[in-house]
Amino acid sequence: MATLTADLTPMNCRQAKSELALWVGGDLTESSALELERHVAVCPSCRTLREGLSASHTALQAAAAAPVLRPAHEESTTARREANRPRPASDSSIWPAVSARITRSEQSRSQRFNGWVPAMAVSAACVAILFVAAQNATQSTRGFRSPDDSWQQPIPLTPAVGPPRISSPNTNGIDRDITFPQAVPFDRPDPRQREFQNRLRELDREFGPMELRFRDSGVTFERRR
Amino acid sequence: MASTSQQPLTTAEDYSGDASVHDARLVDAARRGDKDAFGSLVRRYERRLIRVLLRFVSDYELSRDLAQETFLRAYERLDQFDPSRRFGPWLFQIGVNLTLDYLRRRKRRGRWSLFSDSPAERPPDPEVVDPRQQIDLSQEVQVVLDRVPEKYRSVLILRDLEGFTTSEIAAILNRKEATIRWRLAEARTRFQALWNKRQGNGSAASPDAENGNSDGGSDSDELQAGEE
Ligand SMILES: [Zn+2]
Repeated sequence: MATLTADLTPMNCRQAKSELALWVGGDLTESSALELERHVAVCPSCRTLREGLSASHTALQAAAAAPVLRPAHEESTTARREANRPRPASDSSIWPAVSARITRSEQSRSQRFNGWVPAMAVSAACVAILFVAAQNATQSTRGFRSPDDSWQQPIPLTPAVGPPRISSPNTNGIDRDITFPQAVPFDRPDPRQREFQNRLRELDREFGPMELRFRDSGVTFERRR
Repeated sequence: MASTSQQPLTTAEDYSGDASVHDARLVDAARRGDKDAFGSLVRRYERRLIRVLLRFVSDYELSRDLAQETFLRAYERLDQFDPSRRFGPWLFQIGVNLTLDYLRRRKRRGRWSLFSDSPAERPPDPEVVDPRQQIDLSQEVQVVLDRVPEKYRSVLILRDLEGFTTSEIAAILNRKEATIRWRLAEARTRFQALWNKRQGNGSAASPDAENGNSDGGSDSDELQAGEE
């Protein structure tokens, strides 16, 4: 039915209908609106659509203005279903619940973390001492490139850098410092070495490339720059 | 000590200047581990977020749960937030995506078995108003909205029910603004066809609007041309 009028005007009906839908909500530029107006003036089909769009848009606006936090159907279905369950006040903040969930998820992450860090710390201490001895405790190193060689050598048992500390990388704002056991005696290849390397790889996967740094205060793991 | 955080930064009351600048400072503090700063962001945005999500799910408790989940994910992804963008659209993007995912999963599982008494329930025949109950206008709108395919419904909700601008909606739905405008036109056209048919005004105009809506808002029009 629109085809007849479509040819009479520069703007075709398909375009006009699409623009009418924008116009009804004030989403059309003024110049486009003027052109549209000219089309609608001579196109009954588009006039009918405009009426229809105005009616449905009015309904949407009424729904938009209706109070949304206490929906009307609450008294029917929801209220029936939750008759015995007290519901929180509409305006109570969800922050306490969100905060508790953040804490929980951080705790479960830290439990996973602490589960293996003590074991690693022991091994790390060995390696640390080893590296301290081998490299004079000064430079930063990724470490463990050829651990087997150095591992074979007898190493003095004294902790070279005081009570070493290991800092986990700072993720999501959690910092953990773990103090090593004082010194770990060893005089032969330690099976924990492999375990330690595996865990270092785990750490890499979880936090990105890490490096072991030797400082006066101890040994730290830090994200590699 | 590897600690870089814990500078005492900002409280919710510390309004100095433009809200988005303030948001940026709160985000920055939250990223460095200041949970209270994140709490301020939650308090600032929760009402609007719940309100918007409620438009999608029509269930107050559910919208609160989804909002909680949204903030939790936002917190976990703070390091992915681009500080040159605004926090609001980013947050609403997470929330709307989460909600749409939820609705899709629910639909796939079969909403009728699990949610048969959900307020979003539609009468079996959407063309006929159920005479047994007096449905008010908002519910009526909701029933018709539920018949509109998701990608149009989302735009309609955000624009006409929640008053976001088309450029804000583009940011929330991660589409070009031109795409959003096209969808908006399509959404209003489809909505009016269904609405007026249901009201008995009979001015169902666009033939497009009737296609793809005959079976409960299926997204079978996904391949329809005209976009992008
Ligand atoms: Zn026309």
